[in-house]
Amino acid sequence: MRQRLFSRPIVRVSVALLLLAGSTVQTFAANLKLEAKLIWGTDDAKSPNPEHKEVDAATKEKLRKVFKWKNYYVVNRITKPVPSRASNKFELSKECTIEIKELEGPRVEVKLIGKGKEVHKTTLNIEKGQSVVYSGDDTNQSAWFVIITELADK
Amino acid sequence: MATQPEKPDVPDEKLVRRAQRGDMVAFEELIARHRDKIYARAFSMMRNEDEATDLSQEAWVKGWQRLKQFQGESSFVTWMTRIVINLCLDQLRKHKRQRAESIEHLDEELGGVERQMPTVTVNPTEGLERTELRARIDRALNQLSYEHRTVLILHEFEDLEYKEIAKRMECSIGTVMSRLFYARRKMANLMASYKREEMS
Amino acid sequence: MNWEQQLKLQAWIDGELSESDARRVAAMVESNATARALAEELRMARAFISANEPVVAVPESRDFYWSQIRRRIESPETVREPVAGLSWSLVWRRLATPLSGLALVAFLAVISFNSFRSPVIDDGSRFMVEVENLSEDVGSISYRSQSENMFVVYLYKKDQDVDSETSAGSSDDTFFQ
Repeated sequence: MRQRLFSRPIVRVSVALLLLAGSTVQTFAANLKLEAKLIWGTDDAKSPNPEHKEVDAATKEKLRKVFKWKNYYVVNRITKPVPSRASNKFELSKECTIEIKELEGPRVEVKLIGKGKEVHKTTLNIEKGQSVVYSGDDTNQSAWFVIITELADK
Repeated sequence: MATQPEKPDVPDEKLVRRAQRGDMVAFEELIARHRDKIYARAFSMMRNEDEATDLSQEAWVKGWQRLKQFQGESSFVTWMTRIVINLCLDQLRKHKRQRAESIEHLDEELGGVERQMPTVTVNPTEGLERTELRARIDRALNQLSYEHRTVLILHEFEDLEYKEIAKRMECSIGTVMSRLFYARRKMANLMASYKREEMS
Repeated sequence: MNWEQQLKLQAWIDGELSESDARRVAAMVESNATARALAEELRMARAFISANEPVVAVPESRDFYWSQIRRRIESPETVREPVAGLSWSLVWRRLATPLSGLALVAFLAVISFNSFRSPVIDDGSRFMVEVENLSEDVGSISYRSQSENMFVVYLYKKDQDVDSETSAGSSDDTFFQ
């Protein structure tokens, strides 16, 4: 007679643990915490609005490597969670809103809404450390940027 | 180990079914039948013999690993071509990481000079033998950046739509259109210049 | 012809335009000699390239080429999906040990770190990006900077002239109001 490789209790415990681990992972899939920043890029040494603070040094360096402007000022910053399979709106200014929808896996749909109208949609995988950047020309040789990043869990 | 070649009249579908059951002889026959086509696609994208050989072999390994996923919606060689193209695109992205990246570079990459190129009105390929024509096309392809060459290969050789190319190359449809426009204009102008070289 | 028209002309040749757009471009080609010449050039380039793909062959013998592939297939790192024919009970028995270990590790990791997100689906989809312009007046250029780990979508107004498309031109629009 062949000997059983595994006893029934071992198999049962394995199945239970697998199901438990699976369900726990599902629960935590909801935690997508995002930050959206509206940034103004310019060659001017100062922002005309004193409330606009310069971006942190790391972001500045990053942006300088990709874009041509020398200085970058934070106009607004919003941090919000995006629930699993749902969306959330980040109203960065009267004219600029970002809507982010969490899709399957690490995938998100990012919609740029300008002056109340949907302008552009990007669907991509979002990962920690990665930035999704919308940009465009603004007045007087300056540019606007919307930077979306996933925040590290705390 | 050398294997016994299959009869050429055995269709690919039958060999694929056998390979899906783990028959390596059948799989080797499929490789023998299509290896040049898969290698050629890798070479046209990479422009380097060693890399093309390595990536085409990697594609066959991936093909073997994923063979059970092949359901026959397309021909086997089309399926394999997709695998090798994806591997080449990954490899080209790795190369690109080494290069400086900026919006200015992007502008250059998207073209701009094509607007200054004269329109080619006389067919520069007229009267050429096929072998010579292919050699000139190969030479011209070699002078394009990888972004322009890849768009051209995916559109003209693989017959993919703009949307599909954009997905594969991770760029917008507008970028695909722009790159394709530049690549075609550049190819036409290069072919015209080769013709002028020949005449002078 | 502006940049937008040139690209539309090409899209018309490639059969990528809607019927109404195609009619507009056909009318433009009919009435505009520059458009006609450009269309001719693009058609010609498309024809000679697509019909004459350079032919190259693997620079190695059949046996040598295959032996290298076979070695990679049979290397311990290369794992193939199980072939058909194994019964569920056998598969289950074979997997029981690694599965129970995996379950334990997953369980402990989730409990300890509370930081799991849904897993990455696969390498192929990881980098796939879909971009869609939702406004007829706005064009976009998207770009991935690998070195800065940044995916950039640059938006521009379509009625901007060609030379200011990718430069910081003056624009009446601002998002900072």
